[in-house]
Parts: sequence; structure tokens; C-alpha cells
Amino acid sequence: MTTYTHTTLVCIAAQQAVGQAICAGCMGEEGEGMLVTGLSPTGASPATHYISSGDMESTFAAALREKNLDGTANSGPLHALCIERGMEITQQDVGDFLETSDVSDAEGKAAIDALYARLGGLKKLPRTY
Amino acid sequence: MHIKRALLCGVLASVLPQSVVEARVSALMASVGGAYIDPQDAATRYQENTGQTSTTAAGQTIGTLLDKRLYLALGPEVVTNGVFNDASGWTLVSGSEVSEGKLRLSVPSTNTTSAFSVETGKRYKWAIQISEYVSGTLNFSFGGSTRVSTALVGDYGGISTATISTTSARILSSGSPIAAVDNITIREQLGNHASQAASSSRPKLQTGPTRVAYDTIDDFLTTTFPSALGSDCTIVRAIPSVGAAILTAQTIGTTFNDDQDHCGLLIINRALTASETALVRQWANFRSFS
Repeated sequence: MTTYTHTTLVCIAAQQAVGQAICAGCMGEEGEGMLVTGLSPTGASPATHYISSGDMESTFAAALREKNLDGTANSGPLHALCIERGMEITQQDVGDFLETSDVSDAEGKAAIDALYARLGGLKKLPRTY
Repeated sequence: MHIKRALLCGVLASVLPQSVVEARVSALMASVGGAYIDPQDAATRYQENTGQTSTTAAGQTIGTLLDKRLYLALGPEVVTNGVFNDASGWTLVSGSEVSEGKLRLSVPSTNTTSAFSVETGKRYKWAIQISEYVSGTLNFSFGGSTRVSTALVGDYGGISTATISTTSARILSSGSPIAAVDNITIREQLGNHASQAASSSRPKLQTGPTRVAYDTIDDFLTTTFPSALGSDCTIVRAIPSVGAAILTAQTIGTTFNDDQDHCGLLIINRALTASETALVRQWANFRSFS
């Protein structure tokens, strides 16, 4: 039985496609359609970041959170998971995605607002999906 | 005269007990196109979009809310002889046989099939029983996906969307399989259901009042219709702890994305009469506080 961990993932717009591929590649159908909610400093287009927040498969969520001793993202476990689940992606690409993304436990309006403030005062764009 | 009638209907509706209002709304919804989404009915809630685990407690995700418009009715059985009275309806290959009312598998990569038809985009309620098991892995697939892959005895089931039209159900075994399969059923779950495939975008069940609660970040449920509902639709939402919200003259295509908390949602493919409007308002007001 699949277990889930609440996770909030924010990536920069330039990494949206890579992030979506990693999410879908690692979680299958349950990872499709993620990172589609846009954010920007003004709340208007173009989006500078994309966010997904909610239950994610625990194995994937743990790999997102892996850190090196110096606190930087450790791309090894997530890259290994991508390969295990049939993706063709380099560790460099996974590393670039993780280094520019924010992974947290943020849940609820106050925590999300604090996250937006920490990331430079981001605001949510109107839904287009 | 019309005003008097409308006022009278409104007054009458206001004194009806909730059970009567619910029954009348059910009858109304059965007569229109659209969807009747009811997060307060546990029989309609599932944690995944594949309908395998019921949503029973506050805080659990909602990946599927079944449309109650057709009273959760199922279509006809599409599997021939899923109870294995004999081998009729099944194409057996070396290593598979029907005996004692079960399909028995004893050779790896056995590919036993039953001919039937499922259609792309339709949702099917399915079940399979693995009644005896010794070794190997069994996969049961139809409609473009493996529905269960297991190495355990048990009853398996779900409500899954066919992503491609297929003409058979397939049981594939691997490893060193020795197993028995029984009671296979696949029936269409009629209606226009709301669901969300992405686990991170699924809303949650909350109580006080019982409702579907979206995170206001990226949660939404999508209801898919076989054809566009048109430009004169009515949307009725029971807003938690507030009351009815009724939108008229709405344009709805073949999908409707919902991301607003509610205790009940009616999507109707036409304008309502004054008496119908009074009825659904009463319905939504009851639910908003229950």
C-alpha cells in the first residue's frame, strides 16, 4: 500500500518541465499534472515559480528532502529513484532541479504565506487549468 | 401570478423536512444532464482517483467523488463467466485451466484472456478475487492499465478509468505462479464523476460541516462530461457554514474544474424554474450546516 508524506515543492519556471517529468516519472499517474500553479512577485504573468503542495508518495518525498552534510541538496537518491522507475535523466539535471527548488513541510495558509514571503514575496497567479 | 407562485413554492420548500428535499433533488438531478457531487455521502468518496480506498475520516484525501445523479447505478456486466462455472468465455493457454469453479494458473507468463469491450474515458467498477496462492505474481489488466499486481490472497477492486478501448481482460502471471482466481467482475460506473489523478492536488475531507476542503494552492477535482453542457447551465454549491450559492447562465464545456470548498455541488445543464431554484436553495442551506 502506498504511503504519502505532505510536501510543498516550489521550482523556478525554468525548471518546470524537468520537475514535471521527475514527478510523473517517479510517481506515475499520481505525479502527472503537478507544478502547474504559477507564482510571481506581482501575482501576474509570467510565472517565475510553480508550486505543488499536498500528499506525495513517501519514497519520492524523502528523496526530495535528501541533503548533503553542507546542507546542499543531495541529488543521488532522487536520481536513483528516477532510474529505478524507468526514466532517462542525468544526475546533473536532477541536481539542477533540486538546487533551484524549495522543499518543505509547509501546510495551511499561514505556513504557505510564510513560504511565499521567504521566497521573495511571491503571489499566486489566477488558475489557468 | 408567477411571483405569487414562486413565493408560494419558496414557502412550501422552506417547511419541507431535509429527507424530502434530498429525495426531490435526487429526482430532479436524475432528469437533467450534469453531475450531483455529494461529499457528505460516504459511498461516493474515495482517496484515490482509482477508487480503491474509501475516504472515511477527516483529513483523508478525496481523489474521487462519484456522481450520484444516476443513483450510483452500474452498467451491465462485461465479463463473461467471471465466476468460472466452466471455461466458457475464456481463452486458456498452456498452464491455465478452470477447475472447481476457479481459474488455476501454474506456468509463468501465462496470458489468459476474456473477450469483452471497455471504452476510453469511461469509468469501470471492477473486482477480482485471488482465492488460493502459493507463489509467483499475478497481474490483472484491462482498459490500458494493470489494475492489480499482487502476490497475496485477497479481494481486490476499484473504480478505474479506461485509458484505451480494449477488447479483453488479461491475467498475466510471472515468477513461479501457482494460484487460483475467481469472481471477476467489471461494470461501468454510470455518471460524470469528479476526480484528481495527482496525489498532491487532491482535496481533503473535513467535518463540521462535512465537506470537501481544497488547499487554495493547487487542489482541484475535475468532472468530465461526454459532451459540452452548454451556455445556460446552473451551478449550485452548498458553501460550508454559509448557505446556498447559485450561479446561473454558466457556460460549461466537457470538463468542470472545482476548487471551492462545498458540502454539496449540483451541476445542471439548463436553467432552473423558480420552484426548482427554491428547492435546490433549500437543499444547499440544509447541507451547509450539517
